[in-house]
Amino acid sequence: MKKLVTLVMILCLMLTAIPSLAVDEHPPEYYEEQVQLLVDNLQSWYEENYGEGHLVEPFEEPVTVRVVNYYGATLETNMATWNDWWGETLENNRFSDAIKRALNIDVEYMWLKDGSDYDNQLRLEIMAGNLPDMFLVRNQTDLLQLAESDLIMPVEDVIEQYFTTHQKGVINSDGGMLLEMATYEGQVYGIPRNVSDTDTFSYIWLRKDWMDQLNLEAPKTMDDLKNLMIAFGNANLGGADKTYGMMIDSTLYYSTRGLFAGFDAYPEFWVTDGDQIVWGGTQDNVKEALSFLHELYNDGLIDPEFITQTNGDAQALLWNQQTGIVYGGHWLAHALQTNLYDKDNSIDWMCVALPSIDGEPVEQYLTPNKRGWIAINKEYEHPEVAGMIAALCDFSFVSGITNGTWWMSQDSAQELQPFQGSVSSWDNYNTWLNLLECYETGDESVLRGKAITYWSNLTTSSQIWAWEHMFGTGEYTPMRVLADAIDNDRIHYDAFLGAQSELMIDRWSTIKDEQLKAFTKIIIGEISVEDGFAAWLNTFDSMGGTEITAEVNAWYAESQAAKAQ
Amino acid sequence: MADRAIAKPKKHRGITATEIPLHLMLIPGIIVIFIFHYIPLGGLIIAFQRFIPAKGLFGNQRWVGLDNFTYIFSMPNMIGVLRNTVVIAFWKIVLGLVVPITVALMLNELQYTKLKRSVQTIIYFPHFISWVIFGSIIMDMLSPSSGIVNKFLNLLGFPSIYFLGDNRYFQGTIILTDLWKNFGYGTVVYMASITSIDPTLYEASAIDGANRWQQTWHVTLPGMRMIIVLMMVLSLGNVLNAGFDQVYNMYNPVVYETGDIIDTMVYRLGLENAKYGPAAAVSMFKSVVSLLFISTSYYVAIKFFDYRLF
Repeated sequence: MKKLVTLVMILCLMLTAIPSLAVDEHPPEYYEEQVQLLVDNLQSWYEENYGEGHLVEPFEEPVTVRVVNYYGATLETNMATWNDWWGETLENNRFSDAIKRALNIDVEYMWLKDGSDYDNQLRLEIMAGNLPDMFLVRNQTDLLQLAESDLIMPVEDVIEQYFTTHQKGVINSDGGMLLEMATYEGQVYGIPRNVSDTDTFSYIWLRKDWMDQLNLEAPKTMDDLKNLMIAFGNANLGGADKTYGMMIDSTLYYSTRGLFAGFDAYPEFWVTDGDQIVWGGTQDNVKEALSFLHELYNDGLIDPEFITQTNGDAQALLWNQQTGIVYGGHWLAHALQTNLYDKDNSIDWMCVALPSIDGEPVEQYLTPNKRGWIAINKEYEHPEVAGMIAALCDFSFVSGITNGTWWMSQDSAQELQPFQGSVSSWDNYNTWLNLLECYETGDESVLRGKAITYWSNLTTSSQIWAWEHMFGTGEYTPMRVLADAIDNDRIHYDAFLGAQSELMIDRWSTIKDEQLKAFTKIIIGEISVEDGFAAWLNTFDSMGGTEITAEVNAWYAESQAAKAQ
Repeated sequence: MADRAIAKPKKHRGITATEIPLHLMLIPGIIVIFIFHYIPLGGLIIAFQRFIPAKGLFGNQRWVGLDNFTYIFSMPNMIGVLRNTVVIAFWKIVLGLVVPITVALMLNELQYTKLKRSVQTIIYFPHFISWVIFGSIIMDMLSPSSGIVNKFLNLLGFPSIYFLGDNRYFQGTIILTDLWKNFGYGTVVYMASITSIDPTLYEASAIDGANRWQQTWHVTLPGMRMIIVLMMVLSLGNVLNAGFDQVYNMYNPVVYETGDIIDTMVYRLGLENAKYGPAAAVSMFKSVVSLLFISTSYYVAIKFFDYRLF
């Protein structure tokens, strides 16, 4: 008996050990090879390509920079393996090692936290007066309060003087949105760390094999969409007990963003209306979209249980083949492959242009997306370090000399960078263009940065189906839909980028709460569309929404005037 | 009775030499309590400030008087939220006392030790599962389309009930599922106090002709009295703690009306920006109310049950 227990325990231990072996295997000397490659080529590469070798000139005397960082569970697990292989730790990692050897900068971590605790830990440390030399601030309000308290320095000159051309391109890739968000009293206080803005772009995914079998066309209008739902339901090709038209979840917007956009309604964004901006959630178009959703709910095309389901829970409808229509991100393809295609190769999905109320092309809003901003302690004497570290991290990924996949894009390694990675706001799109170039010429040497990783995913990974459905050459991919929207100028940014006023800080999260509550109740018919929407407008006003709109417009007028100068 | 003797030790003046080392052993505990419970009380000033972390804990924060309190209590639905909190907490406290005591008494009557032990373990087990997991188990069980509970209702010819999506059922569901998760713990505590009752009392009552029911009423329950009063005094401090973990994992916008409690509301308020001021104000408000309730119940315990902690 005792033996059996021991055996079971050993088995359990072995099972828990297996995931840590999932990281890409490399020989022990690989680490040294890669770091040395980077150290040897960093300066010459910048000199040859941009004439900017001087920006990554090593210090003669060692310079110390105190930083902080966050990491996720994946990195933490992988680090155990890497530690076995080449003695890497979260504090002494490939980046800090390379930074020391190439630039003579000692990176000192004051603390590292799990991603979800980072903001609060940072606030506590700031409160206690333990400010790092350079640090990533993820929250706009936090950044502006630091600027207001005169703890961090303006960074426009730092960017101008010490950042590489490549990095400047990244910073300005969103047309200066993030710089504007970091502006306090006319000066910029944070160096943006952009990431792909198009991650909030909503796509519609449809069951292609069902459409082919039933000989159906991709929907152009909302009526088409509803008819498609009904056709899928009547045919029930997945053989489910109960079918639904489409999948939505309790947080509502991620799974309906594209549907709202089809009605020219944007309930999560500040939108321009003439020379004013208004909160999208209060516009009449939203009412039409809600009325449509309510109609779907009434006709049994929406699962009534959506109100208690997270997006992950609700996806069961897709996996059980109860529905063949869903709005979501481009990355949905991964889950579609794992949960459907891998089990049955006859299943296929496609991504088409969003249907709209009048059949016209749909416009969408985006929020400037970021990891945060690098803030530099006012007392710190070497602000140029920010530019040098950013340049080094960029090099490891985009030069093609070092293995960018190993440095960054695999196994969460990018989180090891002192202020996390940063890519162009149009990175997904640019990467896709780069991939197309490679498809056309068949020459892999044209690939840069993320495209190198994606190319290997497209050609040799276990998720080829998913990658081809996102970044392949097919006619019905999210990237083609996105490209069409970009080329025809149908993408807008959230119109309000300013700092939150005191009133807004106090009220805004509650107002958004009330909005979600009101919309959910309208959809499930607890209150009629007319009454419910009127009541919501009333709540918006009584909670201070009208005053906030006035404040936002004051900011807007000011910022427009500043731009006009 | 034995506990009477403990409650009133022999009085003497001062501390004897042999007691000094014993008292010294208290010092580490007192230091820890002082550092972690008394010094942080200073942080209550945040409740009266418009607190901005960047200015530092002792920095030049703006004093706003009772603004944070008015802000919290001027939230729409605040009355409903307070009512939900108190109703949910009240029923949790009441049922959390009555059910475990009843179950403990019933288990105590079981002759078959193995069965008794297994039941005890099984009902104790959910106490160790976090609400994140237990909440999703319950959501699965209560699902109107595929949950076991509604399948059973349908079998009996009743329509499905959306326990977590219907304001008529939500509070009851919260209270009962909490009871399910935690009554095992209370039961174990009460069972332990039953085993400490002097068996000669049962023998004496049997000789006097008491039956099982009379023994329970006149020997077991009075024997458990002290622990019952203790548990009651401690639980009354929770009158404004309706269980954040549980509600947060199980509620949704449709049932905010009956399910939103103080803690979840404040959590949502502070989600986007760190609002330390209002959060401190709420926790201060809750502490003061708890203090009032604990003091009152302790006073009642002394008055009517002659129960003393000190």
